[in-house]
Amino acid sequence: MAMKVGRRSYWGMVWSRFRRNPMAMVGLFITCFFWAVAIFAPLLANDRPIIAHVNGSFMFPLFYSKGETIKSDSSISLDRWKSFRQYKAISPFQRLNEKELSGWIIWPIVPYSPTEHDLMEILSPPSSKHWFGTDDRGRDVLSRMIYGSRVSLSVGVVAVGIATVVGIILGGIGGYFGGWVDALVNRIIEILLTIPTFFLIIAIIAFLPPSIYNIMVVIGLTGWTGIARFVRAEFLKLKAMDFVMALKALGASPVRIIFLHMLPNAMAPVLVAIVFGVAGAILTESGLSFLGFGVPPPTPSWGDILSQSRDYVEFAWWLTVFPGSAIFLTITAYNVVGEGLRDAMDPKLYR
Amino acid sequence: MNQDIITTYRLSKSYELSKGIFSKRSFIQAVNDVSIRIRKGEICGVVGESGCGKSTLGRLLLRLEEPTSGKVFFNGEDISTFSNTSLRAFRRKTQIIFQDPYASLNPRQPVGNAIEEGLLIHNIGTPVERKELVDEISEIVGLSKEQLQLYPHELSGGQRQRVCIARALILRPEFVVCDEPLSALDVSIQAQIINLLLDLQERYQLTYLFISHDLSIVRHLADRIMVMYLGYVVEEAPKEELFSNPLHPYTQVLLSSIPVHHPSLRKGVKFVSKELLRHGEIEPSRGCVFEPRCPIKQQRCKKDIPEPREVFPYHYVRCIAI
Repeated sequence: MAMKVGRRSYWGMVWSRFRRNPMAMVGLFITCFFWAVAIFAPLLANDRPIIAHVNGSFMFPLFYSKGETIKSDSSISLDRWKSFRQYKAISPFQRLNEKELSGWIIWPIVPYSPTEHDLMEILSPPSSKHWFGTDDRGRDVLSRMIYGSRVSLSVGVVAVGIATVVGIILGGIGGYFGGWVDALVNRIIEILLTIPTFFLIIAIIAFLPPSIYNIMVVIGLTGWTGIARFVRAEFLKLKAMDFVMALKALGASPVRIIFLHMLPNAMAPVLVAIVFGVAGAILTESGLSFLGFGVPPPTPSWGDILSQSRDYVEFAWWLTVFPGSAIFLTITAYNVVGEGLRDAMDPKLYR
Repeated sequence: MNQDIITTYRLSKSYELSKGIFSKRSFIQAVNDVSIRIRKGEICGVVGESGCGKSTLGRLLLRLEEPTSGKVFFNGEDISTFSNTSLRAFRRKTQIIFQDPYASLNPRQPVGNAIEEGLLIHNIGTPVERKELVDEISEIVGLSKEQLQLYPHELSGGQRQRVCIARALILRPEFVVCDEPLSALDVSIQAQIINLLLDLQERYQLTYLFISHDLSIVRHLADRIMVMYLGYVVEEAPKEELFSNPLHPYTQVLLSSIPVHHPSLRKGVKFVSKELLRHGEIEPSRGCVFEPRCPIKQQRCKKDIPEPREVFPYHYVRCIAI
């Protein structure tokens, strides 16, 4: 085995094993796809062109901020770009033939902003103009979903980030020092586990001003128990290993032993817990938004779109199916990646 | 004698077995009433069967575990009273080499960094100086520069043990506990590591506490030997004396268990009583721990705990019957 693998680090071995798992790779691909969508959301869905070539000069309306007027030779206000859009069936590339203006425009793939109302297009089904239809205020569902992915993913990552930091510190301290410290950490975990997390979050959110940051923090501070238990279990195992004893004999401080030596060895199961945790946090955020406790209204989120669909569920299937599928796909992708990671890091497979 | 590097006074360590609010507290006595002295520059062998407290004794001497009672003195100072600063100094002067060289190396750390670790912990030298020190000690223990880049799983058992030795010796300790450093190695490698340990002892004037269950290795290495049984040091004598004149019945049995080339070469104890083989099934008595298995037991062994006595010069035995 060592001969065949040659000089490869532990993570290199994990990756080569992970790559051979087709399900996990599909999951990773979907995860990366949603990340790309979230990162490039303003380029994918916007009511202003990315590039316009009008009367012989190039313009990049997407990158101007609101209220900023465009170059003196052609003063096209940001709102006026929208009016060009409505004359034609929208394709990314559009020829412009106005009275004084001629040239061409390249639109984002979805040429609507997530908050833009079109009262002529209320609850219209999917069409070539609005691929995923519109909602009850005439907003483009696809555009809202693209921006919604930012909320979902950032809530997932930040909440799990907080949970990871808390979990590693508390679990690490409990596992390393043992005794009454460990007992205290365990009791805190057990108490938290007895409370249904979702209702605890709703109860806390009710007292806080509605904001995405509060949701991140609350999900994070209630979701660290699993990670803490993984870290603790790993630390209990590692603490009994001779290399920790050898470090003690060398005079290493507990901080050095915990963070430089034990933590890197305990990261494998924690990473799996983190990946599953992101899926859980996204689901929790969607659930909160669905119940109306989520991010405040102008910001779109997947759960929020689902929530609107309740009133029109008999006919407006596109309001349910698309955001529902997005949530389903993301959660499944994260879970599949988590399972793939767990399998790839299973030490029993290394012999 | 001022040359003692380590002395202990009635050192004991017990572990609690079952922890529960309602269950009766029960303890296992790993080290029991051990008073020993280790002289500067000697190799002190500790032998005994598995679970007799050899390793625990080694760890107690280095304050890797806290004793239940008793004291350990390092160069005349009580190590349990050390402040943080003097504990750090103590950690520089004492080191340990473990049985399983794989478990005693961080699997995520290239072995060169593992060797350097001690220097980093004690803030010794600049990066360049540290590298020189690492290269120097690696050469002495017989590791190539290329091997320093490797991870523990990429090395053989013998190479890993060389890494562990280098890591222990880079701080130039005075006293090293070798906790069965050869048990996990092939016989051919064992010889190399023994010679390495002996070379290093000579080069750096080291003092070893050499823990082993292999009598022939201890016979080869040690100057003085302690025999442990269930936490007690039952006999202690210079090597030649112990092998030519074993007094404690347990030592006699232990020595007769060394394989010999021909049955006619076997000397000393003529028989091993069946009782002796039934270790672990018997409740230890309130008196001498060896009483249930002892071939020469007397009535009073059941209730009197024997104290160590100097039967011959430097030859201590813990037995009433002798």
